[in-house]
Amino acid sequence: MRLIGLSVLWFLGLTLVQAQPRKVTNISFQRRDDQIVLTYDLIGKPKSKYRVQPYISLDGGVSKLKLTSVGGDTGKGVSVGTQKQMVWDVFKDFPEGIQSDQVVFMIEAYEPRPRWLYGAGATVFVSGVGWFLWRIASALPNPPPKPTTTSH
Amino acid sequence: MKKTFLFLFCVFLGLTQGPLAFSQKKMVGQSPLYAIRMVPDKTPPVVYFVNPKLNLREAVQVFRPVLGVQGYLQDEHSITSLKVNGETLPVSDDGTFTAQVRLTTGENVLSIEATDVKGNVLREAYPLILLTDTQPPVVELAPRLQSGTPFRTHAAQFTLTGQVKDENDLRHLKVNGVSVAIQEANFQTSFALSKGKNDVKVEAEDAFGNRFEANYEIIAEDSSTDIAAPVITLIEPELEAIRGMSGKVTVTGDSLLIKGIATDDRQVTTVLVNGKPVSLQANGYFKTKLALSEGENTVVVYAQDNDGNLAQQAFLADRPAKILGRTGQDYALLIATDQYEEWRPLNNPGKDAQTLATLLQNQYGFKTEVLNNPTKEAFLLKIREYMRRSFTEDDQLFIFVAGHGSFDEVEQSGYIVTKDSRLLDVVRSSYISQSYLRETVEKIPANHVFLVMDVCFGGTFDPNLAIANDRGGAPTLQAERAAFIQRELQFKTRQFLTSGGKEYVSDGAPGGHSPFTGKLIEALKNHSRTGDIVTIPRLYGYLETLQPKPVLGAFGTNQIRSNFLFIPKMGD
Repeated sequence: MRLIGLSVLWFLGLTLVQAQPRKVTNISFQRRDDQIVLTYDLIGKPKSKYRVQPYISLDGGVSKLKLTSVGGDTGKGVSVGTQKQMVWDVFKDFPEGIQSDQVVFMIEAYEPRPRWLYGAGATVFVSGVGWFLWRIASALPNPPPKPTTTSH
Repeated sequence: MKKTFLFLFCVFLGLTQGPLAFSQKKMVGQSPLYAIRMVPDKTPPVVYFVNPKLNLREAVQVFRPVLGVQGYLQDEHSITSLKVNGETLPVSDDGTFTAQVRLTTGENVLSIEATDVKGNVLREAYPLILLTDTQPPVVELAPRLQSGTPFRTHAAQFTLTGQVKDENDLRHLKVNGVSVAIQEANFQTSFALSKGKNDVKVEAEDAFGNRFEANYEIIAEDSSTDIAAPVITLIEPELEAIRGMSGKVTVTGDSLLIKGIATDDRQVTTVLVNGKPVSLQANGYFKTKLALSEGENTVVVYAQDNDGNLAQQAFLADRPAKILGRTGQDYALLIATDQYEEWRPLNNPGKDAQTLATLLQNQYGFKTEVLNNPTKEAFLLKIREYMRRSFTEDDQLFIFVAGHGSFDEVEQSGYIVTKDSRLLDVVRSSYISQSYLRETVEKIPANHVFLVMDVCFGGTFDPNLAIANDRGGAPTLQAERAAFIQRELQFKTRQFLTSGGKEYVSDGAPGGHSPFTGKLIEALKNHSRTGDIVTIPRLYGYLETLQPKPVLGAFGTNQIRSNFLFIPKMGD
């Protein structure tokens, strides 16, 4: 019963942690010669570093294409904040340019898995497996004593 | 065993759900829907030569060995370099440039190389032919001096005026070795005379070294009596030679400006024009405006010197009678946009419209209205205002629209860009579609509407172009004019003329006019001088040599033999 109680507490904790708002919002763009400057707000855990990946959709969001020639607040290690900017060299990714009236920019941000969780998980797992093996070993009947040999 | 199972279950949850919940949480943000058109600039700059008007196909003939060239470059981006005949030249922010090109007699090539910021290079070679000028300058003197015939005078100071003309630039004009300033071919100089014979040498040389040289003899007589009459030289009007009089001039207005110079050995004291004294300047220059009656007017200019010698010059001023048989009024609505909130500004629409309005008002008697930089709403409200106006049967309405135009490849239709039109407007809701304009203009209750559009893609105004044929020139004889007007205006007119087809058209160099409107103004100006009625075919004939070729067409309820007439004012 104690274990069940601990599990419930564990999940409640997780829910609270997850309840912190995280989102990418206020995406807008400005054209600057052959470049497009994307501006966005990244809201999340203050000290976290996010991996940010921009995409473009030319069909109103049905399909999307990854933007690769991008600099600025993109890639790994992007901290939270407003008015984050990334600069996209349009013609490097699309040599023939873009022409659509259904352009949507999408920005995906990934919050990395905390390292301590790996350690904790591994510890619990190893402990559990060890304990399980020990319990199995304990449950096994004792082997018959080896026969003793006597000398003539 | 039950405990073991529960424990394993919890461990499983801890290891899977927990880290998964924490693990790379993905957040996705999405922008609103945008319309973006970003295509790489692969178009080299385009060059337009303003003076002289060079073209690639046909060699332009020039007379100047050192030719001043003016032009401008257009490109989506800025121009980084310009070379004319290998010489690097600066280009102003608006793309204009000037160059001095040295030519040799015969065939020459003006090569131009312009590079835009994207590395697109324009390389073109324009053929030029430098013609050899073998003609010396022509010098006309007042008073008329003749070589070999001494000019006699009692004056101690001699004033020599005249005109010097040449096909090319003049290098100099000298009188007795002294350079004389020339202003618009006119010159004037004075020098003292000694008693008796005075030699006067007049020399003029053009850029090719062709020389005019003449020697005259002036005899300053010592006499207290002047028996020579003053000399009247008319500067304006230019007279057409007729028998029995000095000449004839046809006047479209109700008055005539007369300018001239009256010179005499002594002093001209009085100049009279049709008996009325006019003010006289020290050098004998006079200017006056004479009211004319309909028909032929005889104009007599008298000049008298202080010895009472009298000179007179008479000519006919013909003011044709008013056009009979027409009661209609001509109206002109001119809408010009050169300032935009998002689109790049243009150089000339405002000026084009104003010049055209002034010309139509002063020379053709139109009641004009100019609408500058209207928003879409203001533009359409103005058209609506005309839709609600009442017009008489003979009234004509000329509508002129100048500014940016746009074309939608998807809809295959053209649009007029107004001041507040957005640059990124895929459905073009902030533009005025030409089809809508066509429908609204059609509803204006004037019998004769002629729409002229100096906008890009204006030729898409009507997909079914109906090019009218020139049905011959307008009559010049007064007797035929009224009948001609009556005949031409008996059919309903819904015609349009645009500066180009489905293409971009030039705005023209700053301070000038767009090539299209410039030519339109030129055509109307020329015809206002001759007094000829300008018909649509005649106007189109004047403009059709332009590149791109203007498009003339009909729309709505136009009747086949319709026309629109620009009737020069014959006086009120």
